[in-house]
Amino acid sequence: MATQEELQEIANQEIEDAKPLFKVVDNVRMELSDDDYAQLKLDRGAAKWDAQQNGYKEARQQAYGSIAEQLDMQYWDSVNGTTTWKDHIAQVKADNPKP
Amino acid sequence: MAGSLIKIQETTVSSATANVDLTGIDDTYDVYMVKLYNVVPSTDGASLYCRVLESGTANTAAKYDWADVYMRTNSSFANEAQENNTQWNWQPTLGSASNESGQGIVYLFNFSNASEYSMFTKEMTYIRADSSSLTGGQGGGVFTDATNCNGVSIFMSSGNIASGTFVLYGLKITS
Repeated sequence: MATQEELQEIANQEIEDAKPLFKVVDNVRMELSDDDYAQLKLDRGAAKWDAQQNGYKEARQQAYGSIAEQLDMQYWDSVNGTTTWKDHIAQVKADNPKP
Repeated sequence: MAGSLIKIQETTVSSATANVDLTGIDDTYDVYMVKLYNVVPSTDGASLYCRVLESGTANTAAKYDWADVYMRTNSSFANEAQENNTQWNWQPTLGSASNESGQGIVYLFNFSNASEYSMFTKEMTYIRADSSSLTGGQGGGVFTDATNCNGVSIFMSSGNIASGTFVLYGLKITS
């Protein structure tokens, strides 16, 4: 697991490697200013940190079955004595672990 | 009551661009609107972010709140909300594959009113990168600082904006 400082270093290098970068202000294209580059590095570092720390939440949301599907699993589990729903939830959590 | 959209700025991105800044918001109109369409990130799965501009400079303070609901073809809906972030997230996890792009309308309120928080409502639709499924998103946000904002700065969480068109309108109402 990378530290925030390590991710910031990676982000800084990515921006340096990607130069020159451009912005469009009111349809006028220009290279980023030094301040823009500095902010972009901070933003990129923060995004990487957020993805590492919180990305599992979004991944789990995507992986869980719909409410209807989960209710159907629970119904048939109650009828058949199976653990389909519990297994589904456990699998999603295992596939997308917390950092 | 009738009205019309008055175009203030339009930018079409056709080569990689880190930021698209649209300015021209003042007290001429009560409400402004941003139309964005065919927006594609250079990095698959990047999210489309936005900040307010104050005298043309993006405010990066941790004063951006939003609350959205996302309806998805491949999964159940999702509520997403954040407080005190450093930008708004208009389109999370936007896809960049062929035929994947983002479209949307955002209404901007109180941007030129230095006595009120700047707020927006949004209606988006796009193809997600992780599932290649359609997402419809609706919600709103607030910049919790009563300042005079003259525009918006639109950018990606990672990488550039590869392509897209961004238009700023004023909503002129006549009665």
